[in-house]
Amino acid sequence: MLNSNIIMKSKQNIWMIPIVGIVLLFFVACTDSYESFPVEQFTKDYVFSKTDSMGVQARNFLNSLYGMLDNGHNGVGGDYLDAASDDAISIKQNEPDVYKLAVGQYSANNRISSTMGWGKYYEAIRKANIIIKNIDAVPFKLTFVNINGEVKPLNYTIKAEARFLRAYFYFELVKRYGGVPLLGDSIYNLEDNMEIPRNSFADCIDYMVRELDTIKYDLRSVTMPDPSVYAHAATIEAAMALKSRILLYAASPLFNEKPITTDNNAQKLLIGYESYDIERWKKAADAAKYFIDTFGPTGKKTVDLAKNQMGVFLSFYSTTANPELIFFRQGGMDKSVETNNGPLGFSGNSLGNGRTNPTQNLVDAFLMKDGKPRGESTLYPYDPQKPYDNRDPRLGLTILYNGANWLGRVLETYRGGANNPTGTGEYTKTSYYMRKFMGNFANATEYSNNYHHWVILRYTEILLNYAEALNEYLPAPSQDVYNAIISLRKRAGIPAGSDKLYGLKANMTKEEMRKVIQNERRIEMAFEEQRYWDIRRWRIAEDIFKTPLKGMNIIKTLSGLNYSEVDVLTANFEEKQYLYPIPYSEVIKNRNMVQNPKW
Amino acid sequence: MRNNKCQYLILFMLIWLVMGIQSVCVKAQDNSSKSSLTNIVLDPYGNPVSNVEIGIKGSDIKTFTKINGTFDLDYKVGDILTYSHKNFMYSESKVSKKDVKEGIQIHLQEKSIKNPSNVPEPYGEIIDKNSYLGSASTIYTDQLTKTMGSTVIPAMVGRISGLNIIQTRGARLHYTSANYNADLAGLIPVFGRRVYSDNSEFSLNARGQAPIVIVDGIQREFYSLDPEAIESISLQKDALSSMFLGMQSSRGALIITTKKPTQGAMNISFTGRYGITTPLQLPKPLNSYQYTYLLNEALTNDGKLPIYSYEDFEKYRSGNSPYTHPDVNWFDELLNNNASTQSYNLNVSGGNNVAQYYVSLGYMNEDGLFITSSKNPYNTNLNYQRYLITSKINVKVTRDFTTNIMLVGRIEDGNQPGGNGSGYADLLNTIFTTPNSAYPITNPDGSWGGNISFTNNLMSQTINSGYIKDNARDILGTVNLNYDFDKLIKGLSIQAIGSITTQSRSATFRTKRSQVFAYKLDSEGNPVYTMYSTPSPQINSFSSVGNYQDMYGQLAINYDRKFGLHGIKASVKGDTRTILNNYDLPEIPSNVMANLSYDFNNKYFVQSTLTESYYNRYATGKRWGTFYAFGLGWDLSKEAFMKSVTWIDQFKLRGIYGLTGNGITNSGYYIWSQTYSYHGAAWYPLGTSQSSGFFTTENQPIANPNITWEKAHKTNVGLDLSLFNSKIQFTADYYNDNYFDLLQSRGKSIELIGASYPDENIGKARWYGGELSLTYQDNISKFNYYITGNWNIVQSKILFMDEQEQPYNYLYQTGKPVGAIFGLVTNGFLSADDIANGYPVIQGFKNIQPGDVKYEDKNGDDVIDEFDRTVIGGNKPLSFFGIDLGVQYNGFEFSMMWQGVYNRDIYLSDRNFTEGFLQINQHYGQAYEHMLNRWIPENAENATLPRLSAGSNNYNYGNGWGTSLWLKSGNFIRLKNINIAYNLPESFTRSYLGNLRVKIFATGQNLFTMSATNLVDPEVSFTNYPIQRNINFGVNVKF
Repeated sequence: MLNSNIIMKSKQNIWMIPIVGIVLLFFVACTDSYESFPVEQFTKDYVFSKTDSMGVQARNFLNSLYGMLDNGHNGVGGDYLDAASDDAISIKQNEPDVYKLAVGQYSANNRISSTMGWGKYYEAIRKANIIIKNIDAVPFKLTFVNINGEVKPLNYTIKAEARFLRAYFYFELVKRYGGVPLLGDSIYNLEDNMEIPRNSFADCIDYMVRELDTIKYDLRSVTMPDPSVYAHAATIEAAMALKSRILLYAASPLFNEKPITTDNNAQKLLIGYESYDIERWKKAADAAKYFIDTFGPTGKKTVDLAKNQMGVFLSFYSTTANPELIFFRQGGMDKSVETNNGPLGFSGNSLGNGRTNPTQNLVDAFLMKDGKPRGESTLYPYDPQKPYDNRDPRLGLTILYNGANWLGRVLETYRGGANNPTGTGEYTKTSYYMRKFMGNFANATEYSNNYHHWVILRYTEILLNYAEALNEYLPAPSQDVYNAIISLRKRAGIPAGSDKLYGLKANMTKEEMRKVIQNERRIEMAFEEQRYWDIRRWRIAEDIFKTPLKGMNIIKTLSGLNYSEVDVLTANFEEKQYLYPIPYSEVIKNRNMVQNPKW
Repeated sequence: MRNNKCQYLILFMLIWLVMGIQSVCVKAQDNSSKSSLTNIVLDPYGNPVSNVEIGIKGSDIKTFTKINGTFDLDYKVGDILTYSHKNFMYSESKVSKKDVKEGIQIHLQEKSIKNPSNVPEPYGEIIDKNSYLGSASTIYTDQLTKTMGSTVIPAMVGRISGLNIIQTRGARLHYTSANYNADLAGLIPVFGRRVYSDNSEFSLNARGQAPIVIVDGIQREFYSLDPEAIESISLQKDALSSMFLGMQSSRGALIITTKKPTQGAMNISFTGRYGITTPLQLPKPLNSYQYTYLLNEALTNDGKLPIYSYEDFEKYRSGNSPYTHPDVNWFDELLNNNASTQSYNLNVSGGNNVAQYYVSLGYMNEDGLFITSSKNPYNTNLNYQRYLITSKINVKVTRDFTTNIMLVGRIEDGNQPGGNGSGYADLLNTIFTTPNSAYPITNPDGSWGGNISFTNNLMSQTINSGYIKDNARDILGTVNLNYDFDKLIKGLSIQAIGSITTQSRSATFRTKRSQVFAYKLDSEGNPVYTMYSTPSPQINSFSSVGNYQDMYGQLAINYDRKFGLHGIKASVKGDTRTILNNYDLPEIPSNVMANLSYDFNNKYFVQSTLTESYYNRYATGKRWGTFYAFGLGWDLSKEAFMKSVTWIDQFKLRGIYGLTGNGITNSGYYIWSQTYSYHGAAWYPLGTSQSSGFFTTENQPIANPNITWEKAHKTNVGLDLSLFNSKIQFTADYYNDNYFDLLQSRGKSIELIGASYPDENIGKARWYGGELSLTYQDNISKFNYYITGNWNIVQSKILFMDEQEQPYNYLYQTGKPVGAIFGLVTNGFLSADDIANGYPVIQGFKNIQPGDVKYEDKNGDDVIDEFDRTVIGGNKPLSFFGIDLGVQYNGFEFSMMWQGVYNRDIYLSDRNFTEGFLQINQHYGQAYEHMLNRWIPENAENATLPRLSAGSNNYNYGNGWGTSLWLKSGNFIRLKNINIAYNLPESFTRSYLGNLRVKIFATGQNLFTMSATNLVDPEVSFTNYPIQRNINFGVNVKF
């Protein structure tokens, strides 16, 4: 190291050189008592420790995978995703993400990252793979009991939960993009070639379904043991419910009967099946039926409809009060939903920012009190100047309208009313606010904290999945189809009526029943990120968005209130928007990556 | 001003100290004046000056001062003596009766542009300027002290060749954020944060790199020093002179050398100055009437409901409903028109031939512009105070052994208004974004105004939200031992340096928040108050911001000898540092280097340096790097054939080539090994207990096991010319630096990997350009004058950056300059015809109207998209210059200094400024006067801005792709400095003020600016604290 030749010249003092050299090296090499690598930065061997029978860090790692689940509450740029469907619009004036989604203001290069996740789902898949690959190193002494009563070490269920979540994240990708690259169990490194091609849509569906079937007996079942720690964990019920949803999507027109048209053969198999097959509806119906029969009220009774529909979103962790929950993302105990979406015109602890404005279209979808569609009831005729009288009880639980009770007041959402102020940039454009997910504050003085977990899978959906798939498979709806809808209406408080059909018409055709099921799904599951995807998989978005979305304009006159409908948003929907564009950069960087049609 | 009690105390103490020392000094003088008649010539610091030519005006009599500064001359009362010397200004003095009785004592003034024979070197080595082959630019005390500032950086602006300084903020950032996250599991450290720099106001750039700062041999981000205590600042840009930085040698060195002890009688110098600062170019907001009118126009344009009625306009216009229709110019209400700043410095030095000392005491106080309230018993204004003590002692222990000891202590105290709890920058930002009509300062009942969108009253944030204090304390001590082994081997010496530095920073928050009330009249006309936001009481929280410790050790063997005409210099040096920064493991950069220089008769020069550099945060086996440089020089003026050309003093050609590195600061925190970490903060609650739920995750980006330092092949060739007895000095440099292994993200950073890619050593870029500097100084009799200037050009080119395929060539960044700005090219505004004819627009926008921006369809596909982006600016060779000129006549001095930059582009990116009316919760934000020139049908021809929109209009914003509409020329020329001074005649002061020498001066800074754009200040970006004009007065007393 030392270029000591320089001082070699003076021969008589050569003895100096080594001394000085040693001193210099001592200087340089003088390290002290610190560790050579920071101990607080864990290594993989520490995370998946071979000596920790509790697997503390490994379980923390799994927890970070749960943390990747999207929180749908105001989760898309501050709005609900369904504010980009025909159910609601955002109060924001400055082109929020849901506005861009509704009007199609995005491209492969200019994507709306709050909903068009790509990398983040692969990040989750990487996390899952890290668990799957390493968890067996941990010598768990903890055990669990599966639905068949077998006792297994905890790493089985941790691995199975990771695989469930991996399938879930793949499905999040597939419903957005169609077929995507399946990575198997690989964890890639810096040296690996990442130019991986997309798998076909069929491969992806098969993979997810196979995974869910494989792991089901490695998962726990409801009732969850030790709920104080595991109440949020994925169960066999969650896996089977997800399977029902996946197969329903696979059978749906967007992927089965009428995929997006393309001349490009490479694209064709990526975005749907090659040809229509009605048996896919059968598979979907069977999956839902398996769920109902196995876990529902006639089976192991681990899952059932909750008595009170709104209780599903408020009383968590109680399988008796709320047997309906199957899988959810933990949120927090707070007032966030109320503060973000509560009506304008309050302050202090009652402050609401009115973020979500439901449309008149959604209000119109709610039935009359007897379960008949608006305007078709003889008992309860619809009065356009009293539009909220004698409606389906679910309307009041989903939407806050003019005259509703809220925080001990009667809401005034007419223009200039206390809850629809003039003089600021923001006001409800539809005269409505969202009620769903909020606590019971109709008569409270101010908001207080509630659990705001995000419900991902619940029993209602399984019933609706079953009704839809079976109706599509059969030439005409069977009693099973009727029963599924009736059970929901019954729970909603709609009277049975003299024909015991809860407002349903007898002997409906397949097409009539399809309309009913679609409408029931819309009002039952409003704002739950169903409608946005449903109008896509049903391939009806292009028709729906042909007409502007409506709101209510309420004017206070001397003689009273005057209701009239107004256009609030002209959306725009092209065929290519049925699937999201794959990020432009991903297509450019990866020679094997095929973009979705027309993007 | 109550906070200034202590500063008066300090001023008093300084004056007392001065008086005390003076009396001692006078005594000493009395004792020594018993000797017989002595005439002596001294420099400003009291050191004797030899070789001064002294004559009597009107005669041929001439003599020169001896080595001790004395001279013998027959003169009589009334004679005028003349003094000339290469390094000092020409001066004359009239012989008085006292002179004849006691002998003449005269102090010469140094020439404005000093030209010492040595180049400042980091460790105090003596490098003869004649043999220096590098590219350096140096300024000295006199130039530095013409500028007043809390750091030394403003004094360098325009004066140092090759250094481009842009002031981006008018006041420092106060560092108050702690280096840890408060967490469930307690306080979790944040690793890998670097030590805070003193500099948060200026961007410094030399040849595309930010130079490394070396203060008296110690590498530190240490800019906040007293200019009076600094001897020189030298920028060394080439590979050879920065080779001592080893692994960081690519960046060049900014070497700051503080003043050294002097031998001789005690010299005392006191400088006090007081200045008034005034902000330059605060933006002009629309008044409420204009604002509401334009906001209604914007809303109507967008098809939204207008907010204001004609009744409202009338109220805003008349101002007769100040509570419901306020018009508050927040700038006027919350900011003073000027602020004060002051600084005091006392330097004392002296000593005998065994020991010499130097002590400097400095105090600086700078107030901010925020208003204060007399109701507060504490100060809420922005404020910065600095106390600095430097002491140096040189001791010659034996004939062969010398020691230098230096101690520096610094305390910095900052204060700022409580604001919303996070400091003045956020408060300022809110002032910039809140419209005049937002809310009244107070309501009729005296409560703070506000509403649902503006829940924290600005006036309350300024004067009623407490304060935040921050402190930094530094101690720096260095010992330098030098043992001369001349007796053993002629020319051999050994030098050892040891240094320790510590800094601790902390902050105290004493902030609070008041509730606001929206005031409204109900339909019956009764006042209604609605409360928004909850008040919080005053807190008292303390946070430790930073703890820093740096130990440095160096051992060097030097050999310096002349064998006849052959000069040989060689040295071997080893040094190591151990840096502890908060929670981090120590950083240990170390170097072993060998230098060898040879010259023949000061005519031919060969120099070379080899540095082996080590850093402990690279992977094992990848910690040592080799860097080298060598240079050649030839002084033509020393050649025989040039002997006859007597007007050329120096004609030196020089060239340097080297391999340099840029590592350490970009090496990350052990990123070569994949790590996982544990987060208590980002928790996902577990089960029904909602408890723990901690995260363990793989750290991002994933490990880069190959990380190493960036490298460069640097070439510098130059010419030094000195003519007419050094009256003209000219230096020219050309450089060509090829950087490679630049840390960049790879092109194929495919997201399927599920992790973020680390930066890898990929990029290649070339930086090249030139620097010229020219100085001319001379005198016409007693009229001394100088002019000096430097002109610089910097160009760059991206040679490789692993770009992926682009559909059009103009989209590639490779081949373009580093920092080229891409965007859509705008082409006026859309007319109704354009829209009818289907002029290409960005897809997806529903509301495109006449008056929207018209973009150029670069690829001609009838759609405006990201492929129509091209280079819109930042691609010209950046040029900057400084011109400094001055005169001196009979004790009167005048100088001025201009700084200019051209071929510079700035992109105005703040949408509050370019668009205005951004949404703030349920209201709209501020807009500025230039909005009046928006597109309206009646003004379609002359409009400079598109039609108005409220709540942001992404179409006119270019959909985030940038537009040439907001690319403005950043060219400007500023009169940075004017300095006027008067030195009381020495004959006068000797007679009436003892031995005092007094200089009174006035300085103006940032007096005049000519800028290519008048929208904003060309340097300071929108919402940053404005740059200031500073007019200050001062006095310097020496004795």
